[in-house]
Amino acid sequence: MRQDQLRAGEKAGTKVIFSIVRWILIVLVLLVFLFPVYWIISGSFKALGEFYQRPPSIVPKHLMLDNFKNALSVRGTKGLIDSAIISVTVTIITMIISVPASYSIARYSPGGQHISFFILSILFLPPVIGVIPLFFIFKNLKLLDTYFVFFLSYMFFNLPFCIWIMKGFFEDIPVELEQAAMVDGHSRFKVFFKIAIPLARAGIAVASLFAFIFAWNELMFASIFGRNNVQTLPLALQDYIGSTGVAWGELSALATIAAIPGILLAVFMQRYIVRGLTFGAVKG
Amino acid sequence: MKQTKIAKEKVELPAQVRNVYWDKKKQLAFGMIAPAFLILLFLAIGPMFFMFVNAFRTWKLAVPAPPRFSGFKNFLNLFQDIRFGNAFTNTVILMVSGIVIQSLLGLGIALLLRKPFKLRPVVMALILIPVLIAPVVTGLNWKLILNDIFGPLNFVLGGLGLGEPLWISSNRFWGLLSILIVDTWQWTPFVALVLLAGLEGIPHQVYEAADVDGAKPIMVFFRVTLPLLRPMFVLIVLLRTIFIFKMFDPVMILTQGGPGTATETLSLLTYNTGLKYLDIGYAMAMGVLQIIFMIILANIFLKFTTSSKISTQG
Repeated sequence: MRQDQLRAGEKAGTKVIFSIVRWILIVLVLLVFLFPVYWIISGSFKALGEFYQRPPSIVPKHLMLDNFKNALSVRGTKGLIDSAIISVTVTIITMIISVPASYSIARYSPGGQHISFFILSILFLPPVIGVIPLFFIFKNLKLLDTYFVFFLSYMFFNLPFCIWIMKGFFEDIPVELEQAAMVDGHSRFKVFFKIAIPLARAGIAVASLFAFIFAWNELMFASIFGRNNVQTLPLALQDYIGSTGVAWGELSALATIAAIPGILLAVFMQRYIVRGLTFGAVKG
Repeated sequence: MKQTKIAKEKVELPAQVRNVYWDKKKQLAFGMIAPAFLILLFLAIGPMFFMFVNAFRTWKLAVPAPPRFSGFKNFLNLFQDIRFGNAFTNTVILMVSGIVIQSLLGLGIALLLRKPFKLRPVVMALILIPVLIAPVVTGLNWKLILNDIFGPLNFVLGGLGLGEPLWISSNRFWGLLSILIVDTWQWTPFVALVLLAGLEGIPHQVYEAADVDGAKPIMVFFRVTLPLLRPMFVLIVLLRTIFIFKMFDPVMILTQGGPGTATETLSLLTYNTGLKYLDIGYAMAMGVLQIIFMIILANIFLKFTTSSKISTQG
């Protein structure tokens, strides 16, 4: 009896130790992955001198908003507006085109496996491979440095990605449901609008948020296709880094603004991110 | 009830009507996919054509000579090009070390988060932030953190007496390590959550059976858990290979391939060759090699995800 109690107590003891160690490790993991995020945000409140001191300033001395003001007055506003215009428009166009395409592949697979494969393999291409030829094509069409070239070129990764992601959601809808509606006299087109789209709305929402964030974060295409007329936030940020005598505070402020959509999305669609970034292979 | 109705209808349709019915379906299917297909045709096939034509031509915009056909010359040059070899090696180094380190760390984090607790969804959401933050912000941020004099990392390392490397600007080893750290910071949480989904897909009965057999926890981990996670590891290796192969922004922002060409990757070298040195033919030959590699990978991915069971797990 006593022995048993002792053993049980020992077991509970190791359990407590385990749980403490586990929590310490979890906090450590959070620290490692969140500290850099904190660093950029705190940087946006620092005066320039605080970037050049040792020990580094962990907590900004004052909560001054000058950096945001300055960042937005020089070129940040242009970047912010252009990024917003491009990301929103690209998202809308992507969804209008990719929702029916994705449904068509999920339900009817026209062209068989070839089309699915074609779409997936575009997703795997290093963007640098597309960007050099497209540069010359767009240059000849006199499209460089226009909003249109951003709308079009961002389809390069957004369309395949969204089609692929939503395909899985459409495939999850039981065919019987649609057949029943068709028996009731609805046309295929109506079935698509009235049944498939509402049932796949989670997938459509996820795909559109990804489309938005890809356009918002994109740097390589922007740095080649944009210049003076069109300058997205990543491009504005890169220009800052390149210039001498970097105004780190302003830069951090602008970077913080650029990071906000990503942070919000990570927090609110956590359970769909893994599904999205494994191209639907893992349904979280 | 509904099932029988459909079956009945199908049987009763005369051949002629059925043809019209199928044609309409086909029309709709192709109509729905046409816009996407045409745009992708323009964006992917156009460049692909451009690439395959110019990979076999000598075309340097910096030289006034017009482009001319040169057969396999670009490819032959590539195989002797030390700089290309260097970029290739760097890409492979980043790939292999990235996959190994991120898988190990990711597995550790997945095991930590395996047992559900109240705040787990919050922790999972928070550690995913690095994945979605704009790479340009990430790169810039790490430039500050890795700064050899004023950066917080060196301050901590110095305080611990571990020495203070120059990181980004010093040499190939530290430069590649810097890129690796940034990539690991960005992608380990994602790897962890993929493995966590894998862990949660393992049925209880397997563990109960192991328990009945009296297996020790360590044995269970190596003999049951790890083998059952295999599909997830394959998936991670595939995805990370693809993403590290494509990686451009962190390299561009952190090191620009420097010092010299020490940390140049394939993507960056292709970019530099095409858009900086304007040697289009040569850049396109590099592109062709990368396309071949990616098509093979896409094939494996498709075969793997359609054949394995991972898509039904989680």
